[in-house]
Amino acid sequence: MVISPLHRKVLRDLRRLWAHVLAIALVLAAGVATLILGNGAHSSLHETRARYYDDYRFADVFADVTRAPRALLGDIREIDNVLAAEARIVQLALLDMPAMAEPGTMFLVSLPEDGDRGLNLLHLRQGQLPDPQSAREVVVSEGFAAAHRLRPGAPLTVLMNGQQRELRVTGIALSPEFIYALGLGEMMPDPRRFGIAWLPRPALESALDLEGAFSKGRVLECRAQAGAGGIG
Amino acid sequence: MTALDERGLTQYRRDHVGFVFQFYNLMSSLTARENVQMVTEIARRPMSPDDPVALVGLTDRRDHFPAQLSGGEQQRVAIARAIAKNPEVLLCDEPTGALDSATGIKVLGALAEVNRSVGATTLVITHNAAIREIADRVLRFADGRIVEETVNATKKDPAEVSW
Repeated sequence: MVISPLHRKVLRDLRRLWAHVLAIALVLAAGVATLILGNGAHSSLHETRARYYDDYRFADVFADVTRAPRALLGDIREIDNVLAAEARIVQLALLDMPAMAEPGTMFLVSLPEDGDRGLNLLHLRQGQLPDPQSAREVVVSEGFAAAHRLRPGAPLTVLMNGQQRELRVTGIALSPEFIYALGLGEMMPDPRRFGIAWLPRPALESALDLEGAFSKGRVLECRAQAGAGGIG
Repeated sequence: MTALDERGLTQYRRDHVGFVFQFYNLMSSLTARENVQMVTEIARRPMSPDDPVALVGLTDRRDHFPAQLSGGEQQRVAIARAIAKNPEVLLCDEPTGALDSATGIKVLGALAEVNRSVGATTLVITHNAAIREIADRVLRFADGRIVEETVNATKKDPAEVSW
């Protein structure tokens, strides 16, 4: 085979400039590797997030109401494309931690009532879910538990609706809803001063005087998952 | 030719005009023969690459790289490259400008020889007035226009010229 002079020139130039060529090749290889790694990490994170939201049935639509009758939930479930809807009680409580001088707050959230078919399911990291009949057992968010070195069995005191309540941690959990948990008016997450505790609905209802056919609570949230995808 | 666009002019230069520059413009990583081959590969009716090299008297130096050749030899390679396409016109821009007189005379000899054997109309642009004696016709330019035209009744052999 006859090599054309131009190809010969390229080959000779490459051989003469081998150090440059090697350096350029390394830079290119590093760039391509970074690109592949970055793309891989991005798509992996993207899929992981989608999978996490999917597996833990993270709701697509959230609505906060001051008070609403529970019967409204039936109407919401009738809306087209609503695959699942859930009403919860969310209450802000003040923390009463013995080792903490500064004020702290905590979201008290009622646990999904339908078990695995509810929305915004918890991923338990330690311990177990509270006994549905118990008025004292709670699961706390992992960041908060880590900041206060809480373990299953630890006591927790909060001021709820003006009343001091002694609670007991039964488990530590993650929730798709509170990945970046910000306290009221805060710019950065501070897991020491802000946490989330999940407890059975009856415990919250009784504490907040929300029993009965109509919820008279301060906050009743209706959360709906809409759209065709997402619910298996 | 005035009606040709850029592409047409390029094509015309490629097929019909040979160029010799003051500073040779050879490819440093190609041998003398390969530099000529660059042209014979793309020209429409080229010579065999060895012929122009032989014509400028460099057959035994054809596998040397430009850096291994003297200035005069490099310029002769440039002339071989310019005539390899069998041009109708050969334009030489100060072909001896970078050379000492003895080497310049050799290059002019090569040009004269090529002119005789290939028959291309050869235009040599120079500031060196002595070179005019080897030409058939001399045009003197000043301030952008032709100011003098001379026809040499008898032209000198390059070997007889000196400066």
